[in-house]
Amino acid sequence: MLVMMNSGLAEVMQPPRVCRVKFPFGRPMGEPGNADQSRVLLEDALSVLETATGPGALVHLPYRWRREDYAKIRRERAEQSVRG
Amino acid sequence: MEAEELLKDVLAVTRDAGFNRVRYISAMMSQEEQAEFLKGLFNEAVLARETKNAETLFDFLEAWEEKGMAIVAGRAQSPIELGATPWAPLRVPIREAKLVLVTTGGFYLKSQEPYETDGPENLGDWSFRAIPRTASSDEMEVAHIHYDLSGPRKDRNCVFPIDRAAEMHAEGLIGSLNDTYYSFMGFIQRPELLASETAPEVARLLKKDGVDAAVITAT
Repeated sequence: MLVMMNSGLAEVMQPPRVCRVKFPFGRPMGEPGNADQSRVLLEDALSVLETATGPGALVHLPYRWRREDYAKIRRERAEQSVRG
Repeated sequence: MEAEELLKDVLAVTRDAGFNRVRYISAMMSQEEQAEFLKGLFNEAVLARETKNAETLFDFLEAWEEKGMAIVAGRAQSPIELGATPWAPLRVPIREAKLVLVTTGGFYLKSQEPYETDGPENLGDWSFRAIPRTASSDEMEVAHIHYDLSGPRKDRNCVFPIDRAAEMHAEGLIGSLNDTYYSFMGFIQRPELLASETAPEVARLLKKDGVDAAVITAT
């Protein structure tokens, strides 16, 4: 599973599984010091790793730079997992 | 001032900031497109100030980033012959899997040799460093001249999510973690040597360790 910024390059390089993020270069897992953000990103990467069914899986993660509430995303995920 | 020069000034500040991907506009786009960007940027800035809402300004910048990235991708060619995309199905769920983290962010231990960030004849460095999973941030350093290192120096997890993986393992969400993680430094002008020598060596080590899954972060 590769997490990267440039999906066009992913198309050239053709790795088996890619999560593409719209973050600045050098910040594939988000902002420094934002533990909720890097956690959400790692969870997403592992989820794609687990669910991709064939080579060339490319998932565009929707997050906008510094415009998301990752603590809220984590709370919602926790609630969802309790509901099961 | 010519639009091109003005744009260089405007974009020079973005190296270590959000929207640093807009730099492709000055590097890759025509003067007409650069002028269109500047005009739009000004309009959006005025609008943002008047409405006290920068959302459409951010959307504007992101849209231009995407345009620049598409041009880069359109011009990119793989420097080496690539066969069909490889595929190894995940054999066990992540909750039972052994995970490794790999990055191209240029991490190394202070006790190891740093990377050749330029390298002889500006060829970069295709070697890798084995990083013990339990290495502390204080034991690690990062070397790379093609992205802003202030982020990973403040918090390695923004590039190399070592602490997040440890947390998920402790919570039972990841089966196990490999004792050794791996880092490369992504400026590599001899990718054929990465493909023929160092990447297969890491793959062999991962196979030997019985790793099921890898998360690779690129900078």
